[in-house]
This record gives sequence, C-alpha cells and structure tokens, in this order.
Amino acid sequence: MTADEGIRKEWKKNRQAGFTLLCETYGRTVYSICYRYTGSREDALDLVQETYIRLYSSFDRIRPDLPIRPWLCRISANVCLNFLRDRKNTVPLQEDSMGAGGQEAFRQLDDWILLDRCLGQLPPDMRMALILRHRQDLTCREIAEAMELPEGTVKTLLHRGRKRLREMLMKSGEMEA
Amino acid sequence: MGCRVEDSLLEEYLDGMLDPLETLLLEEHVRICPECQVKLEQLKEVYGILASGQEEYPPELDRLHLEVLKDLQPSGGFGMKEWASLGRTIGEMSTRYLDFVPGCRKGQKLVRSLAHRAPGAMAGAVLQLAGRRSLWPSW
Repeated sequence: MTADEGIRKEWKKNRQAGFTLLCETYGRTVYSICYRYTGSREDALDLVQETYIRLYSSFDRIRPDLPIRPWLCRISANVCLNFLRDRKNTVPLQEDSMGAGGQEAFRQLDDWILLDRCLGQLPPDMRMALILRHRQDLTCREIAEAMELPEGTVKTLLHRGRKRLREMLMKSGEMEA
Repeated sequence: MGCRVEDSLLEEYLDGMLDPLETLLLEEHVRICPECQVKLEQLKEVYGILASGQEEYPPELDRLHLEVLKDLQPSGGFGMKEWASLGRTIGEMSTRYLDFVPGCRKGQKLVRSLAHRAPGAMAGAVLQLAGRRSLWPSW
C-alpha cells in the first residue's frame, strides 16, 4: 500500500487519524515550500498552519485516483502566494544583500544561505516556480496546475528565474562571467 | 561566438525534457561549441545551488497539526457533556423565578440537586415541578 492509499484509508475511517497521517507524511514538504518562499521560520510556520486548515477542509474534494503531493503543493503554493499578495508583494528576505557593502560577507556564506538570499530577490511567482521545480521536483505541468498559470508562463518564469540567479551569482562573484 | 542555441534548450536538456535524438544532437553541438560549454556549466551551477542544502525543520512542526485539529474541532461537537450543561442551564433558569416566591426554595433546591445528579432528567424534573402545584405554596 502506498503512503497516499494509507492516508485515504485512514481518512475514511477516522478524519483526525487520516489528517495526522497526512501531516506526518507531507508536513515537511509543506514547510519546505513555505520556508523557501518566505525565508522566515515564523512566517513559514504560520503558512503551514494555514495550509493544514485548507488541507483538512478540502481533502474530500481531491480525486481518489490522483496523487496527493501535487495537490498539496498546489494548496501550499496558493497559501504562500496569497500571503505575499496580502503583504503587497514586499519581500521579507534580504533585500539589499547584493549591495556593495554586503558583497564581502556574501562571499563567505555557504550555498544554503546563498540560495535564500537569491530567492528572496526574485518576484513571488518566479520564486514559487523555482521552488516547486527544483526543491519539490514537480514537472512544469504540475507547477502550472499548482500556480494556476499556463504551462508556457511557467517555463518562462523558470527560464527568467534561472537567468536572474545566474546574473546574481556572477554579480556576487560566486560564478565566473 | 554568436551561437544560436538558446539557453532554454540547454535548460530543457538539464531537465531531461528533450527526446533522445534532440539530446544526442545537442550533446554533439556542445562538444564543439565553447560558448555552449560555458553556458551549460553555469546552468549546472545554478541548478546545483537551487537543489543545495538540507532543510532544517523546527520541532514545532511535528505538533502543528495537533493544534490545527484542536482549532478545527467543532468547538461544539455537541456531545453529551454539552447537552447536560444545556439541560442544567435551562433547568436553573426556568426555576429562577421561584427564588422570589415565598416558601418555594425547596422546589428550587430539588431542581438544582437533580440537575447535578442527572442532568439528562432535567426536562422531566421541570415538568414534574410545574405539574405539582402542591409543592409551591408551602405556607
């Protein structure tokens, strides 16, 4: 029995037990998306909570023949995108991390922080597309469904996002021009 | 210089989205094109950074769903406890006026003690009291 089948079976028997299993199985995926998107642990936990509430209320609507993960990513992505829309698209991450003064410190950071900083400077849609593609391994089609965008737009977002990341890395000296 | 191969094609190659023939042709081209070799290396680096690092998960994450479940409980899953409490309240309220009738404290006490002993029987007790007028005027 796959994890998804187990969750569905448990949900039918007892919603609370099914929900617990769902969160135990996919909680880290949800957190990962939220954290990569917001760059803040506290905001990410708030968004995970919001996502959980939506998962609970809409679990009955997911088609039984579809895998749970893309649907879960979709809900999580929506919650994240709404979160920043509500904040009028302000980016809580390190806005000026590429400033001249910050460059020296920037070089000393490892890839992990580097990724945070780079992602934080991208527009929300672009950031979410990159997170879903590279951190969650979703296909372009799944990302398109998750973000409710045409597939072509997702490809463009990914392409532009990678291009901008490359430029940032060059600017910061992490990559040779 | 002046290579016309687009970055997006190199990305599709890295994403494994090209068919075998396209893959073969692109690999052959990259082998002889220094410009594409550089671009491909840079792209690989970007891909590497995007996939780098291991997430750290806060300990609260494992308990978060329990809090959500608590909030989502129909705060009034209207069970026996709630029915009993409602019955008690109705019983008490419906006999409150007896406080102002001289000599009827006894009836009130009876209702309250019944409410605590067997809340479910409150409705019956109230009806019984209402029907037994003889209890009222004890003067």
